[in-house]
Amino acid sequence: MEKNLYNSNDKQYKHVINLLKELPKVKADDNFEYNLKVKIQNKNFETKTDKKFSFFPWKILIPVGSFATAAILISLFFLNADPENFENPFQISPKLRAEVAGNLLNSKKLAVNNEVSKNDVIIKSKQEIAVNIENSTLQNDEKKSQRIVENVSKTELPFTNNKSTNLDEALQKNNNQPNIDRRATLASRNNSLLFDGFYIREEVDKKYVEALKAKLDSLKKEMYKQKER
Amino acid sequence: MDRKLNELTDEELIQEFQENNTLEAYEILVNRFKDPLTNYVYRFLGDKDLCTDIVQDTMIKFNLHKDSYNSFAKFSTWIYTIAGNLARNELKRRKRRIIFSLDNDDDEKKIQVEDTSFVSPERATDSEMKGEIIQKALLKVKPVYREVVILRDIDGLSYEEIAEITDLSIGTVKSRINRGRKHLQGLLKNIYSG
Repeated sequence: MEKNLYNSNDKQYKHVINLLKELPKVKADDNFEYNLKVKIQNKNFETKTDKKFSFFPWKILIPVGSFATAAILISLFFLNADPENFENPFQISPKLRAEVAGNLLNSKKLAVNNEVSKNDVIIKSKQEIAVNIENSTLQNDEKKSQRIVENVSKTELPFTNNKSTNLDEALQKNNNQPNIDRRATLASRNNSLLFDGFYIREEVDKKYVEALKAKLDSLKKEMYKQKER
Repeated sequence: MDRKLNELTDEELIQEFQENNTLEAYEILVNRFKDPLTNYVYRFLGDKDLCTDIVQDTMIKFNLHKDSYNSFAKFSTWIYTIAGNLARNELKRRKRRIIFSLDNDDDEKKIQVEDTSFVSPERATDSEMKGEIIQKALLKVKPVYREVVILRDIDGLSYEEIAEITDLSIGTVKSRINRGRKHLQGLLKNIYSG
């Protein structure tokens, strides 16, 4: 008893239906029933195992954590900022160097009043820097001279106003060590003067020296001439 | 007794299996439905090994849950529903894992074609190639359309049976079949025109 498949819709797809009907029938394997029996006897079939229930689902933490960090960042950068005083960091004019230096040297003194204009602030800061530098150099010089005096007074001089001494012998007494170690002992002595650092050797301008020499020569020549006269 | 059981309808056999737990009745039903189910699942998934597993799982489910069968329904639609659900689940699982078997040319996976009559080798290869092309075209059709087309045009089930198996209305089944056929027609026009 064949079913009449070709109704109004089926006629349209007659060829496709024929092709599908012509397809070879796929059969089960020969040992299908045997395998099935073995599976049933051994109870070797998939049973739904309940997933282990965990009270704390870790997977939820990932989106929650990311959302929380995003919310914190947004609140820090956008919500917390006062919209009236908010200044775009990309549009702020860069600070002047003098201003920065002044801030570093004396942050309290350079607490600028809002009424004072920027120019005044710069001038003031420059003056303060100059004053500070001068003060510091003077203080340093005083300290140096004081140290020298102290050191000189500390050292026991081998001669007095009444007594004359041989300086070479006096020096040799203090430096009994071999010549090789002398330098080291000198450096390690407590009574030695404080090391103030290396002075940079200034190179003299050759042209200037030559000009001076030329002047001197001309002066000498004139001197000779006058003597000869 | 066996002969007598063989003469029984599917519904009578399942009833026998349900009431008396007669294993022979179960075996006869397995024997009756193993081939049509294998054909249906194979055409739907396109994988022989997978299709055998699914049909075996279907039979195991039928054995374990025999009491869930309602005598008002047709046995064939019930077992087709089980097989269809398992096949659909497998397809979803495969999609999720993104596993696509590219080598369908394995000897083990070759389709067992029913040897009904002798055909010349040239013709045999021609029909085999044709079959492979049609199968590939079928697999390109969306699963929702593919399923109903297979049930209707390959397994020859009625619209009512398909509606019962797929849990859809007859109108939806008809429209899906038409869409599936239309898609197939586009894919196979080179075959039937030539």
